[in-house]
Amino acid sequence: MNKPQTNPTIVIHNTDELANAVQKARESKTPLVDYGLFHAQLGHQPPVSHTAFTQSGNIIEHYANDFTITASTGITMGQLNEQLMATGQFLPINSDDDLTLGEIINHHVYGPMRIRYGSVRDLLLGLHYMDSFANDIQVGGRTVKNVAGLDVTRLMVGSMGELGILHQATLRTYSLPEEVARIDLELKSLDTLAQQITDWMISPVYPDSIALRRLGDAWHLEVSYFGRSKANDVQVNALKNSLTQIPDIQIIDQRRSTLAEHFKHGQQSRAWQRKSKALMRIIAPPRDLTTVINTLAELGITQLSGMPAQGGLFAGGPLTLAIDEKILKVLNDCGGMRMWITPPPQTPEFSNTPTPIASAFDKIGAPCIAPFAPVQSDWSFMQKIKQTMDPQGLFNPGRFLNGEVAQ
Amino acid sequence: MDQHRAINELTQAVGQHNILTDPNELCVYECDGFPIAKGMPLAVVFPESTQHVSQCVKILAAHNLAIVPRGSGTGLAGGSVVYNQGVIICTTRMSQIHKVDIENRVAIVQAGCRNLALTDAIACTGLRFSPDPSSQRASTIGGNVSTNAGGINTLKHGVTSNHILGLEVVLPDGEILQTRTHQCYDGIGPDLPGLLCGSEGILGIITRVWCRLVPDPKAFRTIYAVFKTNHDACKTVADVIACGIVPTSMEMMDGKMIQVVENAFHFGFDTTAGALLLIEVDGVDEILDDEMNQIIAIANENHAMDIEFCADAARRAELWAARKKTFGAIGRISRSYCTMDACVPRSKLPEVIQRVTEIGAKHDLQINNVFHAGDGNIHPILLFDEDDAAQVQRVMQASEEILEYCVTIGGTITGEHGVGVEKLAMMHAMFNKSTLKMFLDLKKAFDPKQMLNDAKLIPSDKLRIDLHQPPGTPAPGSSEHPLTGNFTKNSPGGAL
Repeated sequence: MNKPQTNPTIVIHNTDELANAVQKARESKTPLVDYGLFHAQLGHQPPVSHTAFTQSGNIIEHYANDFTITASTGITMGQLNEQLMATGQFLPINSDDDLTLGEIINHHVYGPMRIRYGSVRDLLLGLHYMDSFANDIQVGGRTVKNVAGLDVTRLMVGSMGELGILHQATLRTYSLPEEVARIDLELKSLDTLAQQITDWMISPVYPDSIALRRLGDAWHLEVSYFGRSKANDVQVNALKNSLTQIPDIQIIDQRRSTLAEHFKHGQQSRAWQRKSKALMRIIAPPRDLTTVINTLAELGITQLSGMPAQGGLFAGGPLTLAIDEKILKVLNDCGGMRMWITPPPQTPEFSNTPTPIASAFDKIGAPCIAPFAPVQSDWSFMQKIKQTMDPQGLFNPGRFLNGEVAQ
Repeated sequence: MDQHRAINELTQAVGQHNILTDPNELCVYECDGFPIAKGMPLAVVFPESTQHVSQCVKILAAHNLAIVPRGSGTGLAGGSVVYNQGVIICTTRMSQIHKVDIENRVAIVQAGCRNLALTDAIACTGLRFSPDPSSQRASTIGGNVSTNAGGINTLKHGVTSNHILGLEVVLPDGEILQTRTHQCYDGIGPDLPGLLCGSEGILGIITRVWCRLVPDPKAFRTIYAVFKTNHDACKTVADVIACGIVPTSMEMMDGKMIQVVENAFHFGFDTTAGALLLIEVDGVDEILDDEMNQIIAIANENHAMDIEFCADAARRAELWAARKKTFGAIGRISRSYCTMDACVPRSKLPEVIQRVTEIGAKHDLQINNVFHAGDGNIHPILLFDEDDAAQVQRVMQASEEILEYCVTIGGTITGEHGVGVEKLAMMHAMFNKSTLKMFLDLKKAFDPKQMLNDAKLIPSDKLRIDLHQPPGTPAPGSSEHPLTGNFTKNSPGGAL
């Protein structure tokens, strides 16, 4: 890792301050950097000289009857959902309370309830962001359908803060469910999991959320429903009936809770991710996720949690370069990809070349790992987008896309 | 001469049977479902593969000829009309379904595969491709992606971009680009498929699509409610949304539209009613009655005159057939009509419909309404006499006033039809200069020479298309008027 740099950190409170910060960054050719909290170590490191920043946030307007909300992106998910829940609504994203809305959008954070509600990509209706010329760009809007102009709202999802600085977002909200019904299942094997999930999804079982966890030697599946108590009863019974024909799956627990309690449970379940010395996020086709998980398990990696319906997985613990190579082989075969949320401390540092192209060796010939791999077909084209939207390389330059880093 | 060479090269690339150059045959391709905009292409090519598309694009780029992608031509905003001596690349012969992967819940199709063809092909799997524009019998999935098509079910299930996992596109230089990790639910980095959805063919030609498949609901409840006034019906919609129920669809017809449909098809609708709502919920059978009863209670609170509900497939099909036939019925009472497409916050619907009525009265125009009320997606239909130039101008004026009003209350100029050429002039009302410049910069990043469907979606100084022309103005591409679109004699537009 590079030595920590002593760079100023500024807190931005409003659009004028943001415009001034961008203008200063242009004039001084000093990039603005915000990697987020959970994703602070994701990607290539920032340029040596930069200005770090955070943004404050609040709800700007809640259109309660339209089930939409406009908020500044510095607001944390905890603040946002606390205020929304007081009105009987919520933003259906499984995330830790201390992540900001901006970090959720920049990193396309989602969880298992994506099955029912979609991800932030589906919930986001409009965005305001500051471009590298300090222009306030406004895309999308507050209506639930909108095809006016290019959909730059979606382009910004997952852009890791490299294309502009988000400062305001409008999203769909949903009605708070009366209760959450959760059934915890233990699985002897994951071999038929993908088919089992499809079978559930095309039947009355149709779960709203499916989360997979490795607990000791066992695989646990948390199947949840969000709705009225009576409706949940129907679906829980349908799930139980389906299990009578599947001897390899046993019910080990069942609970009813409020959504707030369910969110709290989710945060507790994810707590290991922040403590883990190394953490990898993996995306693979749902069917192939089993192969990835089994490979990791065979390699002794036991800290695993996943979203098997979506093909998403977090793996942590004693991850090494050798394990990474084996996982990459599996991902190459199935068309998946992985990124290091927290790179392993014992491995040599990432290549400092601001390029997404995976390389086996860094500039001085030492082995290194690419933060994002395998290379995907559209990444090189994405450089053009970066050059167009941030020609001076002011925003998180080189973190993922190869911008023209300001000198 | 250069044009002849280009056409010869295109013919060699795709074969004689895959190109049209006869002016009589080309007439079919001079407009889409927005017949106000017309332009005659030099030729139409029908590639059968991605490689064909790439070859065609390279040939046309080498000859500096404008390229216009087109699917089935069911677009409603003039997005696939050729201006300035261009060639249409029509994807309808790229109609294969390459793969249906049940476990990963994805289908891989060529761009010219019809929406309904995929639906039929996967009918037995328990899964479906959710986007359901009313044009789904004819429209291609590539076209659905290009316009980010909506439809009746979008209220609960989302628009096309919510159901696209990956794309293959041919870029304006002929390069073939695939977006990352096709069958996965997302990738790492900016969402390129998200940007390409709804880009109306100005960034690249979509050749292959990875479609997300979702469970096909088997149980429904359909509610038909009539009201004395538009206000009561709109208030019902707003109240249903406000109480947190998410129906599959909530469609509305105003009183004039009910009469038109009933007179045409005799469904048994109450022609004295001021408005009609068709609402559907889907999901797990045992829990649907609860939702239906909640909706019925809300309708009653808003003075519903009559409510019918059913779980019966035959009656349901009949009710939805009535909704889908509305545009055919309009053709019986007016030779010409202009279908608008704006979207507003759902809570504003009562005042929006009132304002539309006022604008119609101000311009002495009959305006009928049938629309996706649950989405706030209004479709005022302005009836007019195509031979009355003054009335045509009043229609254009009224249309702009309606859209401007929608923007002032937090709405958008288009909810699902797209900008095409129809809404170009209104883009300035929606976006500031910096945003429009950013759109153009992105366009140039993909298409530096601006050869691909140029002057659509983004206002451009390079090619101005003016729809405010009187009837009879020479067609674009003609020697008299090479760069300007015309407002030709109208005919009924396509269905929604």
